[in-house]
Amino acid sequence: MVPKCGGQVEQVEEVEQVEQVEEVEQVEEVQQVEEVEEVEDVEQGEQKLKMIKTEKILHLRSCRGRKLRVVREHYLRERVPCYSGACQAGCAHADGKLLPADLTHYVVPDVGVVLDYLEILELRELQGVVFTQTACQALQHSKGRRQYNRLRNLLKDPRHDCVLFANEFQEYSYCPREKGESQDTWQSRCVYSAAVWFYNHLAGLMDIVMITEDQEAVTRYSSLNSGVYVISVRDYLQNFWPELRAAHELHASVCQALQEKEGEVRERQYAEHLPPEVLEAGIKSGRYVQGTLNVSKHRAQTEASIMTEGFSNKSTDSWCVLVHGDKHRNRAVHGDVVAVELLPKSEWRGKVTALSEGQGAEPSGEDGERKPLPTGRVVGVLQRNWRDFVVTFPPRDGTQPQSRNSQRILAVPWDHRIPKIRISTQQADALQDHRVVVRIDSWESSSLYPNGHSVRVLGRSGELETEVQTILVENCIHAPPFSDAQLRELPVNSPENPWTVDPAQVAQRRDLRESHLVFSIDPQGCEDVDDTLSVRHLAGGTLLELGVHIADVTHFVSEGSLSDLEARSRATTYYLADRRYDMLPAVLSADLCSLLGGVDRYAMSVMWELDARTLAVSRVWYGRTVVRSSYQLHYELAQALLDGDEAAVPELVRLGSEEQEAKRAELVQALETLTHVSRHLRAQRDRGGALELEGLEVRAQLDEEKNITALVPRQPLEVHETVAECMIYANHWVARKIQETFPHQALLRHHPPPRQEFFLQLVDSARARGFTIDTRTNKALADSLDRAADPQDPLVNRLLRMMTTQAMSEALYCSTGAQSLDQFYHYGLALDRYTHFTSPIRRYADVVVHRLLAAAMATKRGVASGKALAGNKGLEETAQHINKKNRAAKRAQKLSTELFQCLYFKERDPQTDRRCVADAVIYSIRDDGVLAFVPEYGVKGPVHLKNREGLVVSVGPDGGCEWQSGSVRRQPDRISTTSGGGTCTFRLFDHVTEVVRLAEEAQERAARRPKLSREEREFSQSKTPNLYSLLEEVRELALTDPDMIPQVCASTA
Amino acid sequence: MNSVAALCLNIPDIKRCIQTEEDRTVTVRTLLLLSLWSCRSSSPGGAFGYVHSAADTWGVALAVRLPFIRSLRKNMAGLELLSDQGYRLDGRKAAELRKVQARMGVFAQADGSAYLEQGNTKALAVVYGPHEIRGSRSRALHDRAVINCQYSMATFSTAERKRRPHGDRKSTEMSLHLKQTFEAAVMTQLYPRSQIDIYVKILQSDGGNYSVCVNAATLAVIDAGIPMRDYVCACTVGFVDETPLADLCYAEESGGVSSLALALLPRGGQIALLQMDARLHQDHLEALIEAAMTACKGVSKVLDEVVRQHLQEVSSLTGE
Repeated sequence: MVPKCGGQVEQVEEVEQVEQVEEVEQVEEVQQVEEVEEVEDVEQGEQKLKMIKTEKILHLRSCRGRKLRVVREHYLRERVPCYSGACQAGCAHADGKLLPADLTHYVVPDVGVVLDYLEILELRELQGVVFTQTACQALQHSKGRRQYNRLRNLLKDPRHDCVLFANEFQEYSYCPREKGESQDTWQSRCVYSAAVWFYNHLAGLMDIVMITEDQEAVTRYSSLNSGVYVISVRDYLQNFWPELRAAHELHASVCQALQEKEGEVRERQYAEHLPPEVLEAGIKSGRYVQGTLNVSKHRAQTEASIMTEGFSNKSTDSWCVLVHGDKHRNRAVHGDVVAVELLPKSEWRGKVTALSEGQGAEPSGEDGERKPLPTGRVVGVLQRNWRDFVVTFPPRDGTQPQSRNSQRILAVPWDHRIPKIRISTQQADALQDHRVVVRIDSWESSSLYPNGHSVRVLGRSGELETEVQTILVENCIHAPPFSDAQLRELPVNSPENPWTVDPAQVAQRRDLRESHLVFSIDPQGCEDVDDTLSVRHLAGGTLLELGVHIADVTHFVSEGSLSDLEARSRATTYYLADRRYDMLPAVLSADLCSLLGGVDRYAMSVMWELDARTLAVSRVWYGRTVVRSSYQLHYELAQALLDGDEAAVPELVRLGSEEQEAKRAELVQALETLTHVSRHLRAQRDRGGALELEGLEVRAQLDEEKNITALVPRQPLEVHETVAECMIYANHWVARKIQETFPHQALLRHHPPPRQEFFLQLVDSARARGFTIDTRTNKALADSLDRAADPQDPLVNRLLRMMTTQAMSEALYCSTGAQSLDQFYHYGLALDRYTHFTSPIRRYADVVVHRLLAAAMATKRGVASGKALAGNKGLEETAQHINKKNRAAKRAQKLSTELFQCLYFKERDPQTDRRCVADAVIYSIRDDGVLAFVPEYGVKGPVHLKNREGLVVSVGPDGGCEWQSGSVRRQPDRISTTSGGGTCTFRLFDHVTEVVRLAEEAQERAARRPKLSREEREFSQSKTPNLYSLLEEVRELALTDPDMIPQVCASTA
Repeated sequence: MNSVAALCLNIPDIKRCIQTEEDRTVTVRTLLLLSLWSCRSSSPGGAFGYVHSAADTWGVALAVRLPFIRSLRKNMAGLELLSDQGYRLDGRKAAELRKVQARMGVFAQADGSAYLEQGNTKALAVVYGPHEIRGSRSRALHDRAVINCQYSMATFSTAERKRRPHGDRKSTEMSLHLKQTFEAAVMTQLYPRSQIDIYVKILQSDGGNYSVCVNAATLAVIDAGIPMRDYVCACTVGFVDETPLADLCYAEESGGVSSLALALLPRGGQIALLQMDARLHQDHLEALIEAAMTACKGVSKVLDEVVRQHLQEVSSLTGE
């Protein structure tokens, strides 16, 4: 909003005044009722509504300390919908959910209960919760936006049985505040009066229970009305939900935490945070810097940094501010949005690049730290980012601080970037060595650690199930079994009651069952087949028709249905190493939507007519179809067929040999055409500058009892690329279509170009090997990466590509209305528009795109689609949500793979087992060690050349190696150790042989880290989550492989 | 003289006059002021000469008014103007007006007077005239009456008492807006070479000052017996969460809403004045104007009732 040209001065003064008014605390509230006046409702002319105007007089204190008297109107009406299914009065419930009528009672929580026990009310098992407007406003007022939004989402979620009753706008349930009445009594009076109104409104059919923690309210109100019960939360849970153990435990834990909070006065440990107004003003004036706190993975205790997002007016690009030490971090937790004040230049420090983690015993700063960076201290937290944390209760070995009551435990978070959390609990002994989900309640400036309470016990640490649950909780992944209500709304397909295609649907769709040879290629054992392909010649061979047929999920999952909501909140199927959590229930994902071989299925198709010779597109057709997949191939089989191997196609085994030959030839012909087309498409994209990147992907092969038998790196086949290319092509064309039809509200996937400074490491590393990397455009990058291949060592190229992958920014979903046209570019694929269309069974974004495409088809035909599409704002929200969930899914998948890698090596004895000895490549040099990559297992890890006693590694002539005293010298591309036994130098990309050792190395390390408990020692491999620290245990030991010795000798100066 | 029909400004006309940004994503209107008067007094091509040179003031406003913008942002975060259930801060629904109460003929000495409350905004309007031109004779128009408007706010009209010097920019602008509105509505051609004075004072301010002034002044003009084409009814409309909110109160006005003020001659549906100083997407404008027109018609019903009741009282007094 912009001030009017005239009267600017006046307006500004007034608005400032309002600012004070809205922000300040409410001192007193007195109300007076004016005479009853009919106010005509202009909206509904025929139905005259009577509204009563009253006035609220608020006394507000401005931030300058002045008191202001503000008069606000307050309109009351008789008809406020109750949102109850048992309503006798015929309230107008236009939309939104209703409370079921078949409950025994409704529960109305008091203000205090909503403030402190919202978590309990969030349990889905509690039904019939009526939140009052009084309570909601109090929550918004005292707990802030975040908590309030949580409540709002709860109210919107159709899976929870709770509604909001606007009691303060109801004529009879509204109580004006009396003179001298305290806020608390007034609020409970309001809530009680709302409860009484509800009871009377439902004509006494439903009992109302008001729960409160205020004993006074219980005594005052409990005997006033029959049918309206006033009891405490504990009594309520015990009487009405005796079997709901989770609620009882949560209640006990929250109670405990609240009790602890009271009467805790100690000396100040941290500086106080500044009030939000001061922060905001400081940020605007440039005195403070705003950013998200990111705690260092390597040195979580001391080092953290914040990335500013171009908030300061001087620089447009972001820069990094270091926050050193926990005093300067001032109670901020990883992920919080904080305001930082820069320290004077003399106190600036550099980032530590050494590998070792000893605090205090750092190499005295001279070569351990790089050039000083801007350093600051946190002066306030703008937005807490507290989520559920997984912690481990340490064993009680007397090292715990025994404060005045021994029930307070310092629990160690799984994510070591999070500080320890103080938990008060009665079950400390029972929970030893267990992993527990906790929430942080508060962190006072007088306390060294934050206070929290436990929510849920996951299990004993070290057990596979516990660890997998831990990964899920830490990534905020919530994937409970699908609810019955959701399953009820889905179609059935059982042997007694088989599902068949609907003739009415077939009439509307294009039937490809007879005309096209449709087949799918997927990984072996895949159940959710969402993409199939077809290719055939048209018009006597001059035209080629390529078709991509995608499962028509949106036919089964209509917008707004329970399945849709659940799928939206999951956003993707979560694949872990040993299991997966489906986005859609199995009846859809593995059966009705899945394009299985030999059955009729609905599909959404894109078909191109290509010129057979030049492969130029002459026509594109999008639409709904019916398909029957003839072959359900897997990659290895398809590749074998292409290579001309004698592989048996299961679909053809039963046929006679002649027929089998013919069919087989037909299939192979189709596969070959497909490969031909996709090579052409690939070449086309390569010319545009598409990148070929490399990630490390290792699959843990499991046997029946979920024991790991081997770690298998993925083997790329050409047919993988063929299928991927067709999918990319389909995605691209669909993106074009929806973007053109809906220029403001189409969901695209864009990949912003990477920031040049991220390439520094790549360029430096490549230079060490004599290659130059041009990173100016994606085309230049792709070409220079192709050139940077060492004929003797294919690994160099692979490593370089891996580093490129790390430098890339993340591809993200976005709404076209939220970005400008040139932002749609997909850097990695070199396409101007891209989206996800081909996997609707496992990605929600594809479901959205399917709906958009269907709507685009409808618009083209001139038929208005039934439901309005989400606007740009809604779509952007969806996109952000999916992005967040995708990130979480990716992290969870990585962590679970790492978990299995750890489990694999845990069982091996490094001294005896040959599998623990592997070839590794150095890819980065640090001050006192190197970072190495083991291609066989796809793991990376640091290799220490200097241990904590200051001994360095020296390599004997026999390839053995031992710790000796000496020094380490680091140069840009090499690191050398000098000791009594001579000097050895390690260069980038040198091959070393590593022994992957876990158990006793881990023990050794843990023993030196006094803060770690014994429990972690035994299982430190799964506790430490990230790549670096995960395999810190991987250490360079010896050059035992005889082939490698000459190479290393050559580099030994 | 143009007929009323020719002066009528309908939504398509307005839309034509609105500049659209090239990408169609954001339409910036710093000040859009259209009136029958401006339409009449200038050539069709540059019809809307009164539309301020928005771009240059915009930059200045931004630079100087940072605290202003910030406070808006903060309020947007702090207050929920429209709840999920569809209630506003004071318990009204989106399209509901505040309570309107009015009395005509409050002062005997003036030719016409009226007192009007719209919620907690209270205004007093007094009309003198038509009489011969006071002061410089050169201001007189040979074919119609001159309308002279003066807007002022009482020192006690806001939460904190404040001296309000006469003739500050805000009240000068408001006076000008009132003048334009009433030049469009009053049949000035009946009184050539004369002058009509309209004085409006805000006694208590709680949002929608302009519209309350227009509504009060309408009653005062009627009380003075000056012929008008129709009632002029005004109302403000704000835009929150894709919903137009009718008749904003002060808390809503200052809560960072893009608001639009509209004065309407309800019977013919002609717009006498349309003013908006905020950003709004072009697509929403039509819905907003539509809502404002509905709200104005609601106001006109109340005013009509007041006038009829007043007439009854007066006629019973005079014994007719």
